[in-house]
Amino acid sequence: MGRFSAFSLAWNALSHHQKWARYWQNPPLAKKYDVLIIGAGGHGLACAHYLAKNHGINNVAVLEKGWLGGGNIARNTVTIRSNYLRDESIPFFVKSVSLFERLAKELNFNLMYSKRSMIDVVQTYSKMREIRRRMMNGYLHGSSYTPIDVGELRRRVPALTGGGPDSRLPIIGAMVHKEAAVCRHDGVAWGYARSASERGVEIHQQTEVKNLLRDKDGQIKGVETNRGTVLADKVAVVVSGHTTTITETAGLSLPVKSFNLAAFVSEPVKPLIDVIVNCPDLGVYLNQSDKGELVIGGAPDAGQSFRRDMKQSVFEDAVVTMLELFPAFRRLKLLRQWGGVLDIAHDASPIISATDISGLFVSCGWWGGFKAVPAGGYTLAHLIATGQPHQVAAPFTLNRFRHLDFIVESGTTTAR
Amino acid sequence: MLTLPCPFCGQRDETEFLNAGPTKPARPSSDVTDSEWINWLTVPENPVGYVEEKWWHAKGCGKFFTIKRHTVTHQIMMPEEDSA
Repeated sequence: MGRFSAFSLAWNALSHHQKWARYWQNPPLAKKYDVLIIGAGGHGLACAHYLAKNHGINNVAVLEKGWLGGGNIARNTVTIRSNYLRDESIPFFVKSVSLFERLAKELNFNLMYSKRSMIDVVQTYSKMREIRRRMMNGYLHGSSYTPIDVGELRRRVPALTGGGPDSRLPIIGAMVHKEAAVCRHDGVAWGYARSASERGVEIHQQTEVKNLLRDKDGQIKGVETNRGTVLADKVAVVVSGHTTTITETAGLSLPVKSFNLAAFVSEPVKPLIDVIVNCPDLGVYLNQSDKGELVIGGAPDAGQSFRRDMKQSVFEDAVVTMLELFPAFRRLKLLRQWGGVLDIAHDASPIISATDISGLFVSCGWWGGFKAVPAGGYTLAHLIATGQPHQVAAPFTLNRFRHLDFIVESGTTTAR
Repeated sequence: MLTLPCPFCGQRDETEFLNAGPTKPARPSSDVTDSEWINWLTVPENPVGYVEEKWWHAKGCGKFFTIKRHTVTHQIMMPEEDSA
């Protein structure tokens, strides 16, 4: 497949860039594999990559209903951060942030990784108290969170001209999370796919899993797809919002509900904001992409949903609240919007776990799962290969529900 | 734009309501097993289809009511109607 380098760029220029190798192979679908991963998204492909790289398991097929990287890995706002609330959560996301930092090198793929701080704009004292609690917990676990005053905030984000003393919710302070970053979401999926394929993992697109199959002892034995039956002793369901749709075909219910979360982008403009701005009191967050578009996200739809559209009321809420703080943005044209189905667990923390069905693994409950792609794939691969959860993911198994040992993450725009 | 049928106010815009989640079966009696209890507590219905859920007319008359809403089409019907 060859490595990407300045030399390979020059070499391929000689043949007018017509002879670049394909990123991944398209072999025929075999009857049996060691491990099946359902869903060629960020988490599924990362899991395949780490199964092959860290554990030497490469008789793996990743089955994808649509196209590779077409699900929530293409539908997020590319924010990478670790400013979570709970003692269990922060080390997991710190691990993910640190894996992201060296991911481009590891995958030999340009992810356009761009480290830029995230600034939380605080407008109520209750949020200030909550965010100071996050700050102190972050100190304990190596995730930075630094308070700044309003003057410093306005110096760092000149476009933020609203929220003055006369406004309904004046800005009272801000918190800076230095480790936050953005990177190209498609690059993450393609980079992991290329690396996994190079190590022998097969990726089968247009292969929809209809049913999970169990043998007479109840153990998982494979899946029924639109291209026939595929057997495996270990099956991982990594399909984001449709996790329960798949697991219920084997009679397994999970403590998750599916929601539609949407985002939208403006027309490209000159460099304007070089940090990720999060406004938790208003429920809107934005960053500027390398192309210059403002990428803006809001809250999920009320009630469960498997749609991938944007509701007018949700859109209006996000725009109106954004204009409170950035009144100049009213002149921006919006280019496009999209939604994605994510599932949120009973306690709003992720689930990376074996299940009651022997051989069946799930990775679900991801809202804002983009930041967790490397650690999610890394720890799921560890769980599949060894049968034991990885140390940083050990709190996130289904056992926590059995013992009422919830890890309640809330207070963000997505999980309220 | 989604409107919801408040039994007191009639069809009103969804922004007047707060979603109160899917309905649960009746609280189990105290002699259930731990796993049955956990399931009742944490595992909701999550269908690609009609979900029976409660809404609260918080910015209106304050009424709580139950409807069935399709999680893909947002089509709404009353719980007593057959979800054909």
